[in-house]
Amino acid sequence: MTFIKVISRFFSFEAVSVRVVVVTAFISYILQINAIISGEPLYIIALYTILPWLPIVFYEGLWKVKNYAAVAFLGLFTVMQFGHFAEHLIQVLQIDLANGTVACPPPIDNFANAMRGAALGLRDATLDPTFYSVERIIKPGPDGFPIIGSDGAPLAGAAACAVFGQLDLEIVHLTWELIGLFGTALCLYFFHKNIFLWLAFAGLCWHALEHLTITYFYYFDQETLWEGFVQLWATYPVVGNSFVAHPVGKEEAMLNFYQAGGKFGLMAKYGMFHLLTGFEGMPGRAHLHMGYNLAITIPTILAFLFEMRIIRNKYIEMAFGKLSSSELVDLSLRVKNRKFAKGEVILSQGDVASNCFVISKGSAEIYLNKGKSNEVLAAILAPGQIFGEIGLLEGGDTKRTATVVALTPMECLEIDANTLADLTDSNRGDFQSDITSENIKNLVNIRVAENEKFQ
Amino acid sequence: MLKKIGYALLAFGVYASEAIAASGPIAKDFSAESWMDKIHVVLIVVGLVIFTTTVLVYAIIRKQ
Repeated sequence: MTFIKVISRFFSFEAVSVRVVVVTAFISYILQINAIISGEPLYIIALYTILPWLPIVFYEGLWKVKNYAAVAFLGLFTVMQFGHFAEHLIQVLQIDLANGTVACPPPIDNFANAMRGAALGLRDATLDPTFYSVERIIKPGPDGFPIIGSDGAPLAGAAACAVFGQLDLEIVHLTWELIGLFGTALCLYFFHKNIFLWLAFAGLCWHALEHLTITYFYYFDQETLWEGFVQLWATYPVVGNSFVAHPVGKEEAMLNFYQAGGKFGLMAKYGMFHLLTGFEGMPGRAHLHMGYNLAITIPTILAFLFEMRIIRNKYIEMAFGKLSSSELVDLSLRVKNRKFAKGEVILSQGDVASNCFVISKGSAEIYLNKGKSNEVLAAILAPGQIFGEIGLLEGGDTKRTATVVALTPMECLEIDANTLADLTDSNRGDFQSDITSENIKNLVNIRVAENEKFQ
Repeated sequence: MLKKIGYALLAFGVYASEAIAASGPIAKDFSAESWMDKIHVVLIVVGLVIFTTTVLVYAIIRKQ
């Protein structure tokens, strides 16, 4: 149960207010509906839906890394790996279930394709090229013209390049692979005992062989030695801005190593292994690379879940260093995030105490007799330090013994009276730790003694 | 606004269209020999990955 709470807290917005989340959701929804009504293709609808979320997700991600340290980095990294894997999975589903054609990135409604479409009478000749990517492709046969189905109509299916097929470029594949490789190595730097991370790292090393080889040939081996052809397309709209690519024959061309066969890489069908051994059982490139990413993503997810068992707020750990690992996890779940503006009075001397705070950002000034002739600045507190606990520990309706003012914009973790009582009473609540109880009481005694010096 | 997005994708699209060779069949004369002629590239890549992996593993282990 605690584990589910930990997961749900990690994936909820903690740094961004509910109001900002609601406004963002509303903007995203409006943009999405507008794109759907305007007849935009799926990738534009997806782009509009995601765009408004990017700034707050980025901000929230930075906050989580700051508060939960390396585990948060691993968590964000896991989410990105999963997104990458999802694109590969969608491409495979498009191939296997939606009669998809792998022509990636998908043909674009550019000048040449639009002119061919107009010449064939497939589109209005006055319609300018739109530069949209096609969503559907009519399957080309060996002659470069449409394959005709049993019903007499051309066989059509999805452009099998996942959602954001425009990014299906060798340089993007390589960049993502290297981010994965070095990012996983960085995670291993912090979690070197995590066997799942080592498995993901091994998968990434193997995957790097494929992409480094393919990308080298794509960019650095341009000698055209092989006879081949380039597929020609005509593009035309079907509904709104959703376009179809219609095969209109082949154009003979001399191909470089990548175009001739290097594009299949080392282990895919028609790749190096296939041609050198004659073994025909290898999967196509799309299926193979989905498999590679599955072999990387599953261990990464397991590695993250493994580390999530002990995720705790870094500042809670600084303030309550004597608690056990599981107690720090529990306490991290029971705090609330609070923000204070510069100069804001957080606690006032003489008020009834109902909570205390651990600073997670900024600093605070502790005043005795604030606003009076005998005002004294007793201390300045920094991140990881606790304040407001004295009033709670002295029992009953004890009054605050000092005034606390935010010296800078501040973020604090609020601990309620009940939770602090659990921490300090070794006979009640979830913690029941003599060491912690003593530790907090010692801290309070030091504070009280410091305050008395100024009285 | 949508037109602007369309034109923004233009540069993206023009470049992307260059990579359509990423699909389609293998060339008629492309064979095992073609790969053997380039085997030095594969071996250099294998060496590079082994070197990088060794350096990273060493850095991770040394830190502990």
